[in-house]
Amino acid sequence: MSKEGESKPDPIFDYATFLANSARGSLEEGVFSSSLRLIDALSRLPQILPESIISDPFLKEITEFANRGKTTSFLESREAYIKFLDEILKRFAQEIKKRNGLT
Amino acid sequence: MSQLETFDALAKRRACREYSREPVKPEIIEKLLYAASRAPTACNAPYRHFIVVDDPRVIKSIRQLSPSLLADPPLLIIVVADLKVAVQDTGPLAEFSAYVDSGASGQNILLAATDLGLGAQFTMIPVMAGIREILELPSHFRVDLIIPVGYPKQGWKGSIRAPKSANKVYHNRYGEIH
Repeated sequence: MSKEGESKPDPIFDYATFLANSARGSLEEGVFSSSLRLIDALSRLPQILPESIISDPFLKEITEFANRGKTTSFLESREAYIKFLDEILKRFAQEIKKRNGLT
Repeated sequence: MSQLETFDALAKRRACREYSREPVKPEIIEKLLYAASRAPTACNAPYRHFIVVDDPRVIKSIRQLSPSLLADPPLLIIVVADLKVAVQDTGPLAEFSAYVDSGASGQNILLAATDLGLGAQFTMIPVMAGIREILELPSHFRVDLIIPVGYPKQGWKGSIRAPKSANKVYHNRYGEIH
């Protein structure tokens, strides 16, 4: 395809397509792969969010953590992947407590 | 305050998913807890605990971690099982039977709530990692039920009633219609 025929990058459209595709694909792929799609969606947030939002230190750190760990833990074992997801959730819970004035 | 007969409460009970902001008074909460405590536990073992949550910050935190908790109630009653005590006192089956006992206490709460003009419903959380952190719950405890409680929002008509076909009853053996 010629350069002229190429469309402009559209990360939000790509992200929405990824979500819709994953929603349908989840019915075929099984729970672990479906879970991986969700974590992948989390790790892709920096691609679509404005810098003002993604510069939030927690979101920056957690999306980077999700991005680093998603494939390594998934490929290592089910147990490693579950441990990785629990760690993400624990970090969110700690942040929620902080943001809601509980710590 | 209404005082219903048991069967009236059974007939009237519906899952509530929209609540007013009116707080639930402490004496009403005590009645709900009394109802909950009247449910059985296997061997009377002391492994079922209740956590009453009325701090809006804690409710918000739990809602943020619990996708099935769609409502924004003024009160949560959380039924948790101490699995260490359950298994020690009643054997390995307790990991499963604790769910039954939690469900029994939860149903008592729903019926008592109906009797007291309150709305409530069952919700469950499949993953413990986040909620343990919020509730500062030791790792051998499991959250079995999260029950939102409150006065139904004006205009709330109640959830769709399950069809009769949802409950099948047989006589003496499977397949023999009762």
